[in-house]
Amino acid sequence: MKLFFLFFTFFIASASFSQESLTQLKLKDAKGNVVQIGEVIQSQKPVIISFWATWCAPCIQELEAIHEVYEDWQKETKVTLYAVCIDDARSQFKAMSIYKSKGWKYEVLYDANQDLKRALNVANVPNLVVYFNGKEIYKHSGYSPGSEDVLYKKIKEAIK
Amino acid sequence: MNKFSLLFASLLLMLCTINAQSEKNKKDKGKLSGSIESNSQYYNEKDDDIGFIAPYNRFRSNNYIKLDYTIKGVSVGVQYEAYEPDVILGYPENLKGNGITNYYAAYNSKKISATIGHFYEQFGSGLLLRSWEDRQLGINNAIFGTRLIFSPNDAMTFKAIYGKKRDAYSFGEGLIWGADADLNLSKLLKQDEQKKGTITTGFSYVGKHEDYDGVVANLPQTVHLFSVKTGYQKSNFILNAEYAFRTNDCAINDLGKVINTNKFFNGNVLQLGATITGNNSAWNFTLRQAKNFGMYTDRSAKLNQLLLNYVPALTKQQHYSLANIYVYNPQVRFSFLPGNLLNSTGEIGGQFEWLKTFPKNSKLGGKYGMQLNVHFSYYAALAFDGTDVNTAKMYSFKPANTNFRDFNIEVKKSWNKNFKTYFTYINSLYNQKQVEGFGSDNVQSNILIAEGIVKLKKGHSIKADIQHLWVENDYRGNWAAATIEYAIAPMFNFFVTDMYNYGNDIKKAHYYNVGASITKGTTRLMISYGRQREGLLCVGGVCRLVPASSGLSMSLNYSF
Repeated sequence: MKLFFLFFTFFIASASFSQESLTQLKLKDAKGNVVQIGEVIQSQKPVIISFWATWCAPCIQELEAIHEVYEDWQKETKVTLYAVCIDDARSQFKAMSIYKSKGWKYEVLYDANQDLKRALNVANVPNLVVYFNGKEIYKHSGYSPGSEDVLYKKIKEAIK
Repeated sequence: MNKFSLLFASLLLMLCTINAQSEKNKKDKGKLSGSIESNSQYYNEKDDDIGFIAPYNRFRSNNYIKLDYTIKGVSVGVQYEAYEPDVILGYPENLKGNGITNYYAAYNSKKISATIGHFYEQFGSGLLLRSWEDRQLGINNAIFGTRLIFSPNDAMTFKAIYGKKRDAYSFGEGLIWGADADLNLSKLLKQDEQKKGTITTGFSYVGKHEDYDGVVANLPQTVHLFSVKTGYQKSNFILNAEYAFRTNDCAINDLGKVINTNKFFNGNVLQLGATITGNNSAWNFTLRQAKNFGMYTDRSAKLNQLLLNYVPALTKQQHYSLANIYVYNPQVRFSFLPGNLLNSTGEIGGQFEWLKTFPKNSKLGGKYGMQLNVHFSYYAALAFDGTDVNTAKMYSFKPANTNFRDFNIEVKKSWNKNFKTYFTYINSLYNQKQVEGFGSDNVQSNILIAEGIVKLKKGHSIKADIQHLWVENDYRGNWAAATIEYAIAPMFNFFVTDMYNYGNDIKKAHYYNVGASITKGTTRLMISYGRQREGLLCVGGVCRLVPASSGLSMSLNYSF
């Protein structure tokens, strides 16, 4: 009965709501500055929120693949990628090492208590969500080589 | 709890209905989001090769539904879990059944956040307090109670919590409360951070109380924990230090039984970390001593039940299958052998890591670049004399026998735009006797792994690896493994893996798996058939013992 009840709520709900409201969450960036996610995704330029972890090989492969073309993407679409690190105390300190040694140009955010991950209902990493003008335009979980091309196509379509 | 949870669900449904009705009239109708996760197993009747016999319920399924609704800074949410008809093997058995397990209401503004109900929180790195969910490990120790967070500006955050931890469908007995302050001194003093760097500091306090009416006289029913930490960061340099202390507590053995002593024991952790980054390279150093510091909210809790804090293994997190056979489970609390013989009081050690990128068109990098990662870690047990906890002399900062040591080297090389390879070598020493209480104190292994990824035509790719593990002083002997994966981005993935324990004199078995997954947006469905190796499954330094099994697995994820 309870199960039915919840499923019922769930389907009614998923049918009737849009996703325009924003999250109030604050995360810290690499320099310890506070970043309000609600403001970030309001940007009039496309924003990629990419969840990753230092121990997640496909996450790093994805960020490396995007790194190769990031400059071109930025020139063509003014996109910004926020690499949200979900590592806990065990390995969070490694994030900066990976980031710097690979020469990435992303914005790094720390989500150690996984508040943002939970708010966006991210089950596993890698996982990315793309926003444009405060609206979610694309979501994807998992990575295999070539996924980045699909991502870029979606961004270009959205900003047209 | 059930009355509350039904009330909550009704409230949520009401909100949904109101909003659905007023959808056209209102501008801000809030946001509903949620997720479904379902993991199921259909076990084979038996599998002689790996010594598996099906459990009572051959079909078992772990399911999670999470719903959150937010409107103008107010949010409410519930989580429903169902382990029906039974819990998947290796998960805590008290999860069997179903029910609303988590629910909360929260208010968030720019400066204040208040929560009642279940919440997840960690103070600093979690040394004193962490409540978190890890579905893979069957951990959800959310705190049920109240939390207040106050951040008057970007330089200060204060937190206070009060409550009990969740245990399956109920709570622990232990009551916990605490406060945390996190300060950015450079911002407070308005210093030029570019020039002088950033200095941060933090203080935490946690108390726990559990009534006791057993035979041990004067047993501390309330225990206090304190920590102080500081950090310094300048453009290419990060330094961190943290010290934590707990007041006297009784000694508890591995079965969750209080040991009859006339003495009580405090505990401490000292942790130092440094990161230096240079041109395309980075160095990490960590040193840590942890003595009698892994804690539960309840004296009778065991394994991953009702964990109060988080003192993870500071070793490399491996992702290849053979590299996950000898994983280190940190020895940060007192442990005892049968008969309450003192086995361990804590550990001391550290790790070092060097990451280097040889850029494109450099001598070593070649046309497409090369990356190198070298990692070393070493942990020793803390020294003590005697095996009776009442009379043993315990030392700080004095290493005794080696618990774990490993050396990793990884090279990634891109040969052209569509082909890259990874080579990994791991050498490790694992003290099984100390960590697991039986076996050899000197399990030595060497692992070689080669992996290649080829990008074919548009979106198609093949990933393959071969692995070999040589081991001495373990009856399970050598292993060989291989994986092949074919992906069509971004939707399809097919894989075949095998781990062959050919060096095992008792059961030489293939642990194979064949499967496929399909992903569309945030919906992911995976089906596989094969065998599960018996062993520790570890995520972030917390491990769960998984029994050997064989059968069909299905998993589904969906979120909105």
